[in-house]
Amino acid sequence: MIPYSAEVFFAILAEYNSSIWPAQAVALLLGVTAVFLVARFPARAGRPVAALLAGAWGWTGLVYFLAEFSEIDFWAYGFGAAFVLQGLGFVWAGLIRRRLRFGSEPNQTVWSGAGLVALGLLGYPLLVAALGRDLLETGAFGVAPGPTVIFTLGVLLAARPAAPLYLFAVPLIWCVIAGGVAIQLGIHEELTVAAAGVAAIIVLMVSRARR
Amino acid sequence: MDRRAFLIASAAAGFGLGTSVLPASALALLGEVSREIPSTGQRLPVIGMGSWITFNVGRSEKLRRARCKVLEEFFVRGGGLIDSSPMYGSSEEVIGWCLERQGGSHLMLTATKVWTVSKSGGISQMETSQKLWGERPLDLIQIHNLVDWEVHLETLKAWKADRRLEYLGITTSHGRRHDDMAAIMAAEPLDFVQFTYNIADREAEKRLLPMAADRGQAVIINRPFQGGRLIDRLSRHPLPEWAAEIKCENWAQVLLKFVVSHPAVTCAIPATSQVEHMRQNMAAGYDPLPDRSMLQRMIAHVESL
Ligand SMILES: NC(=O)c1ccc[n+]([C@@H]2O[C@H](COP(=O)([O-])OP(=O)(O)OC[C@H]3O[C@@H](n4cnc5c(N)ncnc54)[C@H](OP(=O)(O)O)[C@@H]3O)[C@@H](O)[C@H]2O)c1
Repeated sequence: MIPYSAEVFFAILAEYNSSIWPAQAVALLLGVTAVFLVARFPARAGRPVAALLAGAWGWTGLVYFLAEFSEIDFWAYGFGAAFVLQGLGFVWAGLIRRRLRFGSEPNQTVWSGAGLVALGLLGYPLLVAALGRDLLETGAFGVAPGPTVIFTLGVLLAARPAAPLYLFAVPLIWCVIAGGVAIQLGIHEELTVAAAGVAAIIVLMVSRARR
Repeated sequence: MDRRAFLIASAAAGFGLGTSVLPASALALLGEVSREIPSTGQRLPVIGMGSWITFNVGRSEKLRRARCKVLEEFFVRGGGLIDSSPMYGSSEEVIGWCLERQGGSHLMLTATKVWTVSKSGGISQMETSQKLWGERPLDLIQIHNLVDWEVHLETLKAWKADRRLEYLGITTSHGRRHDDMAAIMAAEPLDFVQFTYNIADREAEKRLLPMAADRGQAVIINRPFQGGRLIDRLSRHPLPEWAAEIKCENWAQVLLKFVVSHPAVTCAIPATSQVEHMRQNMAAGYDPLPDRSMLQRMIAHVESL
């Protein structure tokens, strides 16, 4: 039950992207910096990465869902609340309890996470461009749900020791929703979000079985 | 331009109305079918307009202007009732925006819904709806999907008694909660009921349609095209020859004529975002409607596909 058409979704996304520019560029820069920190200074990267994720989820919940999309979608209130909750989850787990940490010897799970991080930061917008769509009509990491969720799943998989399982809940639920939206509205790039969710579950199960 | 469009345009020009609407009597002369609202005797054209998804275009001025064109076509062709709901995102606001620019219509019946819980929540939602639709008071408020219906029905009765409202009603769709609908229809003084009926979903023929006729309740039919799926499915097949006998040029008209030919139906509310589709849909509200034997043929044909 999606109350708007693909045409309207893209029109509102384009309007949102124009109104928040250059927030997308700043978020991308922060995302790349986070990757650099995890790669070079893993022992100290946990808190800044958690802060970045808290900010990305908080922004997406408050600005993307509650301020922008609630106008056309009654579900946006629920989604907005869930995204803010996930942001608070990163404050709690990453900043207060320090349960988001990274190691210096990457295994297969960490590399899989790195792949999703790259997909969320760069792969997603490149794919949209390849599909021939205007970049204004696509979500960007840190300010829109799809790439933020993919990036987050990657970071969670890359964490050592393993990140708390409850941090996976909202991102994975969003992957299911994104799959539904992709099919119902024919927004093909959103299928990558669903695929990232499936990939994350498989990697998670394999890594837990190995332990 | 088809013959009817030409007649409507020339008659409108003759009345000095430009692209504005014709009086109901002139449209009736051109063959527009209307039905009486049992509780007041007011006549309503059998084709109205829904607004789920189609009018939910947010703040985009470009899309709003495109929807204004759809609404203009609706008025020019003699459209009657417009249905919306707070559930439909920005639809009410967009309709209000278009009405403000077009000056509305004397034929129009404005219908929205209350879709929330609690008495105070309902009142504040209905007051917001009123502001969004603009100057003209809302004619009909329906309790959307029976949400908290006992509470809202009391408010609606009080508003009607205070003449803040002309009509009250209840809605459902997709064939859901017909038992509850029937129980409320039997017990409460409703002016309107709204539910789903189309050539592929004919459950309402068994109970709700005869009951509404018995109880003197006007009937609004939602999802006449099953949300568009029925047209998509049927469009893969050629239009049967008999369609010409009831002056149908496309499947949309066949489906709408089927729905509004039921004597208990007051109006159907197809939704569209396209001017051409609005033109097609409105044409289905003109004579001739199928008779009983044609209806049987229509059902048999669609079932055979
Ligand atoms: N519980 C409730 O109260 C309830 C529930 C459901 C619906 N409703 C009301 O009933 C209204 C109608 O139901 P609905 O919108 O779900 O479905 P519908 O009217 O059966 O179908 C709408 C779809 O049909 C397409 N369409 C319209 N005219 C067409 C034509 N001539 N040729 C080809 N395609 C055409 C539209 O696409 P285009 O935009 O491309 O034309 C749209 O996708 C709603 O808008 C709403 O107001 C109320």
